[in-house]
Amino acid sequence: MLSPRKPSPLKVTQPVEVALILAHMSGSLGQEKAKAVVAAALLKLSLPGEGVLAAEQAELLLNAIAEEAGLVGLAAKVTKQMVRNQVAPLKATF
Amino acid sequence: MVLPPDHPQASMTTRIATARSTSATDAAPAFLELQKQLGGAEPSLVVVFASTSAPLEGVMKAAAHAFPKANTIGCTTAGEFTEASEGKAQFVAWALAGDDVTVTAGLGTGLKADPEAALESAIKLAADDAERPHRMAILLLDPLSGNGEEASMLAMTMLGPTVRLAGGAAGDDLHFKQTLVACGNQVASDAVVVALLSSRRPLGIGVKHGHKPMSKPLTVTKAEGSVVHELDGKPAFGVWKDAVRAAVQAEGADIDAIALADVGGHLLRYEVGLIAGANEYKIRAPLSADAAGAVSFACGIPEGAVVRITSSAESDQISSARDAAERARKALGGAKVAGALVFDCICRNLILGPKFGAAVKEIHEGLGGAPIAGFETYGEIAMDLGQSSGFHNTTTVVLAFPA
Repeated sequence: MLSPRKPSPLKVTQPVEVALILAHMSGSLGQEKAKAVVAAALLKLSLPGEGVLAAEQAELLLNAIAEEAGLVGLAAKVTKQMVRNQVAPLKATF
Repeated sequence: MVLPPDHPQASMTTRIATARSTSATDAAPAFLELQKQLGGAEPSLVVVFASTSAPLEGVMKAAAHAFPKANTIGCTTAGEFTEASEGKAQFVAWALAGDDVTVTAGLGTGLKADPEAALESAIKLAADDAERPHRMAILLLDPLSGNGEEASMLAMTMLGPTVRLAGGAAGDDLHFKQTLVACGNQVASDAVVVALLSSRRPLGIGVKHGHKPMSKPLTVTKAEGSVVHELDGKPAFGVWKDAVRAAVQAEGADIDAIALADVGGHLLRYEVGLIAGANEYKIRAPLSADAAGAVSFACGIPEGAVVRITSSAESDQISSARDAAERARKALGGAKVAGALVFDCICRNLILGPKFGAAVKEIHEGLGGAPIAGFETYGEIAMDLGQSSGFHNTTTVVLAFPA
């Protein structure tokens, strides 16, 4: 039986903790690199360095990091999808 | 309970068959063996892993001839195994039949120049199916294109957050000259294959390596792509030697007396772990060092990353394979395992040598004795929902199917 899938949200719609973004990005970049990348982007955008970001702020942050070349940008794109779809980060266990 | 093939419900049960062949010229008997094991059930997916001594094109043609209605995918390898045996200079074949899983598959070329376009060609989106809501993509790619990790992450963004990924980078028996992937009658290098599986029940992914940290955390202070020049501001090879000197000495060798050309085996024993979480390390395989002190890795490590040198006892390499299998089995939520595909790094084979067969046996047992087929990769791929670790080295990835 075919049925249309629920469309993916085009933007972040809920407030997001900075820690959650870091948890998603650490899987591919490692913890320290993820922290450095996110901290630098937060500073550049004059956003709070910790705690909860409003949905628009999270979207702005992830879009800015997604512009970066290579793995950093790709990690942000993957994270953006996870955050937009409210997929909780799993604890890394490998 | 296994239903006889002519039972009305038999087509609903997932059946997995495996076979191997050392014949490069006559691949047909292996596929006849698959047909026999499937008891007449038509497979939806046939996967082939072939040594460079068993030309992939011929094996794929034989697969398509035996199973004209199935999606057939495959790649070249650095070693192949089934639950029955592991070895080199052969090919193994794996078939999935039953009503639980539907499959679409494609191949894209030009991976090096334009990975997004290559993936776009390879991704054949399945129609939405309310009865089969779980999505899994099997990714096989040419690692000599040099962007395996980026391609894996790009695939994740293109497939969307509800599609999980498992797969591996093709091998070529350690020649590092040409690695091939295949889909149907297309066989190509500089290419990627994506098989998208839609299933009624979730499939299980298990990922595990057998490495333990032995150094303090070290910051990558200078790196270009996959070459790390400096750790903590010093030449990377010197830092690595300082970290492993005592352990190598305990094995009866002197790390300072080993020529650069001969250091590869030791580099693989003491790989680098990228700190990815509390006590969790994503393994990065160092392949060579140069006179200036730079170390080349199997994939990129960004500047600013913090790593630790790790050790890898043989016993840990074997038990980690079982852990990966048990994790994949557990992810099936109590269902019996019909069978599994295994993507296991060639580096683990190099570390374990003749004991690699013991690791394969552990995987088989960890899956409750279900049939498996796998290959020794140049990189392992695993992305779960909420866990985007992506591209691994010296790690076992198990993709299990419920019966």
